[in-house]
Amino acid sequence: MPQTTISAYVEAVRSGRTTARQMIDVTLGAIEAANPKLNAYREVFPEEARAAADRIDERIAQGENPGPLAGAPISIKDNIATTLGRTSAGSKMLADYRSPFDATVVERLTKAGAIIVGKVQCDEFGMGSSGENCAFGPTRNPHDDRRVAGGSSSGSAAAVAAGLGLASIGSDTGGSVRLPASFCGVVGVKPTYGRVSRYGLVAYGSSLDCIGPITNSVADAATLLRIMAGHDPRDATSSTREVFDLVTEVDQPGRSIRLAVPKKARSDQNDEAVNDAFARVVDHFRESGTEIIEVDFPLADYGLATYYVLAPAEASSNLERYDGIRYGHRAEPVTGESLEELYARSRGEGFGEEVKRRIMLGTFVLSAGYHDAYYLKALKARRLIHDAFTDIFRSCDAMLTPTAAMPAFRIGERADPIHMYLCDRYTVNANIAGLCAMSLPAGMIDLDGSALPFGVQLQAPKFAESSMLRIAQQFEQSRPSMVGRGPGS
Amino acid sequence: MNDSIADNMLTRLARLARLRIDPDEAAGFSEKLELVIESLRRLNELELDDVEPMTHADAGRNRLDEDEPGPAMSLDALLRNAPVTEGRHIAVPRIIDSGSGDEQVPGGGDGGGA
Repeated sequence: MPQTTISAYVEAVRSGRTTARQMIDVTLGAIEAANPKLNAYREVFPEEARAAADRIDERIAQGENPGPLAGAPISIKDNIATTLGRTSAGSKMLADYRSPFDATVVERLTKAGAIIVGKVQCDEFGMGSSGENCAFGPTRNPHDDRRVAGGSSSGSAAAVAAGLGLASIGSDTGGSVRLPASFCGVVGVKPTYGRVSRYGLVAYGSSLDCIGPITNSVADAATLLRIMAGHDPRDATSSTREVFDLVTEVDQPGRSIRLAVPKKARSDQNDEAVNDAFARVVDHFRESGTEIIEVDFPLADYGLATYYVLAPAEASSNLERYDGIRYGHRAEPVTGESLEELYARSRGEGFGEEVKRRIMLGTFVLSAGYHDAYYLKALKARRLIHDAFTDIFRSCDAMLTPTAAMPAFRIGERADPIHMYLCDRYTVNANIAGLCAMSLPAGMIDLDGSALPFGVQLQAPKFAESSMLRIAQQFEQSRPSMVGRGPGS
Repeated sequence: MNDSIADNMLTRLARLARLRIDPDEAAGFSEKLELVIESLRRLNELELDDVEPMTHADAGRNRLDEDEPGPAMSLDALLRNAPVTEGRHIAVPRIIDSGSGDEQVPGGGDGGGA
């Protein structure tokens, strides 16, 4: 499939230069060819997608306006509710779950003319950094299929990078949109907490969870975000703030930009190649007129500990609902067994190891005797991290860091949890503080004979999506060779 | 207080979390959990005495929506995902001793016939 922007594609459909049906057929063919190797899609909806495309083409033929996403093939992460197909959140627990409703984002995108071509794989309940914690197998990186796609929105990033759809909708609790975007060389945006309705997102850490787009370009991310964002009465935490006209604002050239770069961003805990690539990006920003302000941000180092208390605590509570009774996996009954034993066995069978670990961890930090030593401390650390960002943003528009300390690693390489959690060290802080953030492709790293994508992260103040996207787009336009590089392009 | 997750702690947590951990997975589980908890103790390095806890990214705002009735999901749609049903009910194992009656399915208040 040609790598094209959503707006260029929609324009081609609406002007009659191509049809939605043609594009859907090309996309479905590409999925059929590449998915057995990549395992990006969990489920594809060929009949429904073709029928939807035909309806779009018919409306265009009748002179109607089928919306700003007319015919655009989009995939949805497996933890976002769709009435089409299953919503399994990568878990055996929900292997056969069919949602009786669509998530608000799915409703909004479909109404704007998007075509949902399928559901894409993810780490179970969004808990993972590599895409390997999935009951339906790991997703492979399109740039090197021996490597992970990154997680937890693994299928989303791999699908977009491989051209299996124009965009994908993922979710990000501690970096789950940005990490896979970085590993696969695509754009991933975690909006401000509350900017996009969470209605229909399978809950993991409710004070941290955000739904965000994964795309080939900054403009596409802006296009989708504008449609996805906005108040939803079905999510009490969704913001009533007006959605800015991101598309227009993104295109506006602005005053000079001030970017904060933490002094430790070139940390010795990063792969050396990441440090080198990051240094080149900082130099590039500086040479193109951006003011780089080195800042001390020692609290950033406490983000991981804070996150791995708060997220499991919230998860242990959110995942209580899976008891095998009303929906989800139920263990085979055993005569004489109590209801409580049935719960425990259903949960023991339905959840994978990492999910069990986080439920146990969350139960631990909330339990009597440990609550103040862990949970309360993490809530206080959260305040300090939040306030430190507020201070930094008084004099800077955004903060620039690598998205991850390493490029995509080999499948199975990071088996122990501590090693895996380190992948999130740059990304968790934006969720802790509720900021908007994004990962942006910033070149390639040569490693063991593979050219692997390298991503940088922008973190910006709450509801500053428009200025964050503007900075990202200026970078994208000034380094065309760095961005949007699919493995085949 | 001893923070270690010894086996008795694992059992206690598993019971609180209504989570069956198989005996053959328990040892490795305990060890990895212990390592993770060890890493979380970094928080002790921070001076936190006078810091107000922050429970939410958007804390301080408590919005109450109008209480407007809306369409509800149909019972059929909701029952479609139930692992075991009997008629219009979700079936569960008996939770009351046999002396209390024969019904395996708790009676619903809606009078719907099974």
